[in-house]
This record gives sequence, structure tokens and C-alpha cells, in this order.
Amino acid sequence: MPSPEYNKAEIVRRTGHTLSTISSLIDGHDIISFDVFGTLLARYALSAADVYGYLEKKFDVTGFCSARRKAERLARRRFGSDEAPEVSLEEIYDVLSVLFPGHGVKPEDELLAEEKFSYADSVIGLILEIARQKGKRVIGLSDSYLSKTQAARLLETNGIELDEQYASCDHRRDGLGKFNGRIFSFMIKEERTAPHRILHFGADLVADVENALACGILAVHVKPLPDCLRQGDIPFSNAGIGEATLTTNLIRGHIAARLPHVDPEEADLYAYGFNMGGPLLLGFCNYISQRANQDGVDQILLSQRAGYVVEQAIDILQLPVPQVSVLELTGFSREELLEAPATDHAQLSDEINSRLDQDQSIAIVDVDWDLTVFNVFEKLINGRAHGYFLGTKTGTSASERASGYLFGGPMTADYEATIMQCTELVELLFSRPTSGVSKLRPVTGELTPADGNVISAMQIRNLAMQTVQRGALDFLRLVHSRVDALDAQELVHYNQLCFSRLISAPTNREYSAFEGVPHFLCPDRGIWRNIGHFWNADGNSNQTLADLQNIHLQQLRNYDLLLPDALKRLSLRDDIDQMDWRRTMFRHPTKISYWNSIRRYLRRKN
Amino acid sequence: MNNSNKDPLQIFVPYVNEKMATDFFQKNSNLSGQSIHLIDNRERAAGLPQIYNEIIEKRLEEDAWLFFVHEDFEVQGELFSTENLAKEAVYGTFGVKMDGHEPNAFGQHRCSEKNGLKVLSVGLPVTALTWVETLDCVAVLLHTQLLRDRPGLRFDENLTFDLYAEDLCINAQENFGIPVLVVPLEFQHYSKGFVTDRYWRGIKYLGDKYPDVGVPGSCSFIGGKATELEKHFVYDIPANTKKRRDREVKTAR
Repeated sequence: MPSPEYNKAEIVRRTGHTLSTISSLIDGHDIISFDVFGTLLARYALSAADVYGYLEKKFDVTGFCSARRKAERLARRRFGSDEAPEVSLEEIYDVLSVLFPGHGVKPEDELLAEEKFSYADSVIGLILEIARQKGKRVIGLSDSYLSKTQAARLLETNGIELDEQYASCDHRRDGLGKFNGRIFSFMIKEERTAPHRILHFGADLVADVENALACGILAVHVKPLPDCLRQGDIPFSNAGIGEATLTTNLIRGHIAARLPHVDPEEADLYAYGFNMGGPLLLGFCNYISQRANQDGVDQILLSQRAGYVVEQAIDILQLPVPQVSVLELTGFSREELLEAPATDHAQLSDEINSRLDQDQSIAIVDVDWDLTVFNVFEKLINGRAHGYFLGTKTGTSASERASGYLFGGPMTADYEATIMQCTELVELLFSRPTSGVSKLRPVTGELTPADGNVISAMQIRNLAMQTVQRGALDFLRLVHSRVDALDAQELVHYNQLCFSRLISAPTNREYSAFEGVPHFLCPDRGIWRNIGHFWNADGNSNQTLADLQNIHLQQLRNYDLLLPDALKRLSLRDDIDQMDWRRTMFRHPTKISYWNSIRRYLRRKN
Repeated sequence: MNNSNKDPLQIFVPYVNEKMATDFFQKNSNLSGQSIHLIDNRERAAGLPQIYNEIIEKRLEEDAWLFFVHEDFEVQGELFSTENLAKEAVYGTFGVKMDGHEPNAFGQHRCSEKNGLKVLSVGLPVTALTWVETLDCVAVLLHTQLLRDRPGLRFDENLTFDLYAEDLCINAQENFGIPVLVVPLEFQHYSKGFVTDRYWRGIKYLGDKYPDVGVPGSCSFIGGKATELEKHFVYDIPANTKKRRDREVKTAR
């Protein structure tokens, strides 16, 4: 759950005003109105088309998504007009029944899907709560094909209560909408109030802000969550990477819903866990479940290392898997398993076999890039185990029973080569706190034993692992009820792309998140160095200049995105030198940024 | 959805090649029992949209399916049934829609020279009604009720032999919100010709007529936004290719 500080920070970021400013604005008005779709309610997806994509998958009707979009366009032409383009969901489905006969999806199915994907925006929820506490009348305005009743159902599902709601769909014949501003005049009349007594919050710069202002209503623009995701400085978001598919859009929609990097109480490693670890863990657990059911496995044995987080993930996702247990072989370390002489194998074998039911089909689950543990284990239990691993390197000698999630398919050689350069980033997610893992390739320098600070280093690494794993598990908690919308192949490709991008071209902020995390090269001898010492150190430093230039450009772009249009227009005015900020302030007292910008400009110029 | 039940199907074939029209329609066993109207256009040489509009005006008060087809269109399989077709749609046998940035043609058929040689298979197969953005002029199916309720939905007589079906489809979708669909039918189109200057004049005309539209047609993008679509995809149909080669040869000379 986001911290209270997160919501406060988000209010500033998304409205351009502090919580206290918003609170005082609310104080000065009797009615607080909110745009419903995109402001009060958001989707765990990037667009409405993703909901149609989900319906296409759920009902197995290829082409439904594009037909649904086309049907809406046609319905607006048939039932609407330029003056009144709004239509109802039923009218859209009426056209759809001709456009795509026999599709089998009903308007009710779409509403249920919308319920599944919608959530109450916590930042707006906080503003709404403040308005309620101050005893203000709270109203919703929607410009959509959903009627008041349908919108109310979605609001209710998400625990949002409003005193009144006005839906353009219900007034479509009269052409009332936010798009033309006429619903604001209607609302003023219905509420029997003066425009200046209403404060409106909305996501659309024209429909919600310009049109409300034109009616004399004070309007505050709220940056929509998917737009926040497009800002370039978000660590581990991988925005714009790969093809936009339903799966990638849903993952990004969930990242947008949380935006963990904004939370002042969370480290960037949490964002790594949430944004990247979560999708990887989700894909891997789905893979385990699918393979286990396909192979008729009776029991899944999770390695002591990966089992820690995988067991929790399977539990959160409630995946259909056979009996799961963690293989805790007290007294047998990973090294002992690998290095045990042949004479000890019999003893080990007896010990392991005594814990397993001989008639059961077993699957071992581990990270195990080179399958060394699996190969030994298979011998110990007489070759009757399946092996499901996060990634198995190409060319690794293993039985056909072993398979890897990340590198299993064709065209994965490049991803494999890149990801194998720094598997430690992945292992932070899958390791059990207290264990050390060595998989990094040293780039420069000699390895030296640590000087008695091994325990401290281990503690730091454990903290990093816990943060990453907490982020990943939080992602799973958020996504678990929509897992059926994801495509396994698309997800594995997304994970490949994201991790190879991170390892080969991290941003400075991403690199900084890891560089100080200790990495144990030889746990038994306590040899460790920080990840930054090994991870693409030269490559990263070579990129610094270019990165700085890119960051500067990105900052300019972000600045452009953040800056309200009014300020942009102000900066282009020829007569800005002649403007008097005091007069502007008296004329527009609430446009603080506006008159303050003029003041700042004049002060700096003089 | 308003279905047609058992309204009769009337097939209209304006022709200049009598043998072709007779062989492909009157003597076609796949069309036996169908009401076929061969319209001699040799002397009159009227534009097809004009002929079609005249037929529409004449038949407007009937409840019937009007199937406008070219003389070089041969049905080679069982004719579709109109029984469950919705009246409020425009139908054809070959059409195009976008898939991402690329146009996809639906309604697989054989396309050959006038003499039946050099046969190419064109389009993706359809087994059920498939929506598209535009239809090819070779065959257009409309119900009279659709036309009766919408007097503005007619063929544009400024277009004589090309692009009038595309125009009708754009008009139907943009102004009336009417879907455009391809019906499954096995057929051969004996018309592997060139894209003529008349076609490009028609494209310019439609660009001016629909400045805010960009849709794929059988041979090029259509509408005022066509150039935007051409940034991502350039048509390379055999007709265009041949013409381009001819031009290159001419330029080389």
C-alpha cells in the first residue's frame, strides 16, 4: 500500500498544487465536482481497448477488440451527430451485432470487465475525502457511453459515493457533455448554484478545464495516470520497450496504478521489485503451474533458495499447482550437493528419497542457470524428476525433463547473452535472505577476501533482497485478480526485453539503485564486492556523457509536459515585459502559478 | 438487428461484353434460379454509378437485395444466402481494412486476365461475414430498405468506373454509421488491368470530398489523410508494379 506521504506527493505532481492549496480551494467552494472516468476511476490498463482485448481473450473471439472499437466509431456516426456525438453502450452493441455477428459478448460482460479493471484513484480519493470532511457536496461528471446507472455501479464497486452524478450518455439527445461544456451549464442549473461556487477536478485539458473555466467554474487539471507513466525519468518502467500488447499494457497499467518510484518512503529497489521483479515472478510462477499440470506432476519441490519467494508468489496468485513444498535439506548445502564425493551420494540419496513418495511425479524448481544442482539431484533420485528453472543456458547438458522459463524459446540468444552478464540482478529477487550467490563475471580487478565485515555486507544484501521481493510480491497482490488477461508468451518476451534492457543500458538512477548492494563471490570464504564493481562498470561510465545529454533533453521534455499551457502561452507573449504581476494577481487571485511566473520573470530580468 | 428474412435477391450486370455477361451469369449453374438482369451498356456507355442509381430509384419501394456486379465477375461456388443478413449494412465480396499500419484484403478469389490466363489468388479467405473499411467495385450488395431510409446513401455519379464502391463505403460509415462487410463467396475476377489516370483522378476527387478520412482501398489509400497512411505503407499490387515499370522504361528512353 502506498504511504500517506505518497498521496501528498502525488497531489502536487498531478495537480500542480499542494495538498494545503487544494484544501483551501475546497474551503472556498460549496460543490466539488469530479470527472468520473480517468479521474475518480482509473483502469489497470492503458486504454479502454485493453478491456476489449481482455474480452476477446476471455470469450475466445478473435477480432473482437478491433470490431468493438469500430462499432463505437460507427455508432457515434449513426446515433450521434457532430453536436451530440454521445452514444450508449447498448447502441454500440447494436452496431456490433451487425459488424461482427455471433461474437457472443454482451454489454453486461463489458461492464463486468470494466469492474474488474477499474479502481479508485487514491490521490483523487484523498481530495474527495477532504471535501467530504469539510461537508461539501460531491458530484461526478462523466463523458462516456456509460449511463449514470452504469457509471454508478462502477463507482460503487470501487467504494466511491457521490451525492449526485451527471452523465452525458443520459443527455445525449440534448447534446450535453463536457466535450462541449454544456453539461457544466446544466449542472449549475440543476444544482441551483452559481458557477463560482463549484470546483471541478478533471483529466481532460479541454473538456474538463477549458470548458469548465468558460462556464465560470474553477477547474483543476489532474494529470491522468497513464500520462504519468510516459514521463521519462521513471526507473525500471521500461516504457516504450517492445510491442504494445494487451499483456504489456496491463503490466504498465498496474505500474501506473502504483508508481512506486514516487513514494518517498520506498527505495528505488522496491520500484525494481514492483516494476520488473513482479512481472518476472508472475511469468515464472505461471510457467511452473502450466508445466506441472502439463507433465502431470504430483509434487513441486522448491529449492531452498528460490522457494522462499516462489512459494509466497504461488500462494498470492492462487495458481492451480500440485502440492508445493520447499526442499530444506538441513545439513546439505548447495556446495555439498555439488561437491559430494560418490561415496556420499548413497547417503544423500537415501536422505532425500526418504522424504519423497516413491510413486509421485516430482518437479524441482530453482533458478539454476547451468543446471548443476538439477543434474546432481536427478542422479540422487534416479532420474524421475522434472526441472523447471528460471533460465537454463543454451548448451547446458541436461535431461529433456529440465526446461527454462526465460531462455526456452527461439530467438532468445541475444537476451540470454545479455542477461547472463549480470544474473545477480535477477537473483536478488529469487534468493532467500541470508544466502549468498555468485554469478557475476568480474570485469576488472582481483578478488580479495573481506576483512571481517562479511556479516554487515550480508545484512545489507538481505535488506536489498527483502526490498526487491516486497516490491515483487506487492505487484502480484495487485495483479492477481487479472492474471487471466495476460498472455504467457507475451509476458516472457516482455521480461526478456526488460531485463536485457536493464542489464545492457541502465539509466544512472537504475544503476545507482544496485551499485552499492554487496554481492558475494565466494560465500564460504566471505569474498564480496558491490554489484557496481562488476556490473558493466566500463560500459556505464562510457555512457555517462551521452546519458547526461539525454537526461537534460528528457528533463526539458518533462518540463514541457509538466508546464501548464497557460504558462507556455505566457512565455511566448511579446508583451510580457510590460505586464504587471500585481494587476494580474488581483484579477486572477487563484492563478498563483500564472502571476507568480510573471513576477519571477520580471524580478530576474531586472 | 433487422434481418432480411426472405427478401428476393436481384442481380444487376451492366455489360459491354455480351459473351462474358452471358457466360458468367445466364449460363452460370451456380446462379441458376436467380433473378439476373443483364443491362446492355454498349451504346449508352453510361457510368456504372449512374446505372446503379437508376436501378435503386426504380426498385426503392420493393423490399429486395440489389446485387450490383461487373460483367467480368464469375461466381464459382454456391451463392451466399441473404436470409440472415442484416439490412443495415453494405456488403461485397472483396474488401480491405487496416491491420496496424498495413492494409489487409479479405475475400479470397482468383484474379486473371480477361482471357482467364495468369491467374493470381488475391485476398485472405473469409468463412464468415468480415467487416472491412472499403469494398472493391466488383460486387456490391445492398438492401432497398437501407437505401429507402437514407436518401443520401447513393453511388456518386462523378465517379464513372472506379472507386464508386469505396465512396459508397466511406459515405455509409462516415455519414450514416453503417457497417461494411465481406460475404464469403468463391469467385473469379477477370480483370487484371492497370491503375489508370482515371483512377488517380478519382483518388484526388475523394481526397477533396473526404478531407478527414484515410482508409485503405484495393489499389491505394483513399481520402484526405491517405498521405499520412502512405508514410507507413506503400501499395505494391501487381497493377501498380507493372505501371511503375512501364513508367521507368519510358523514362529510361
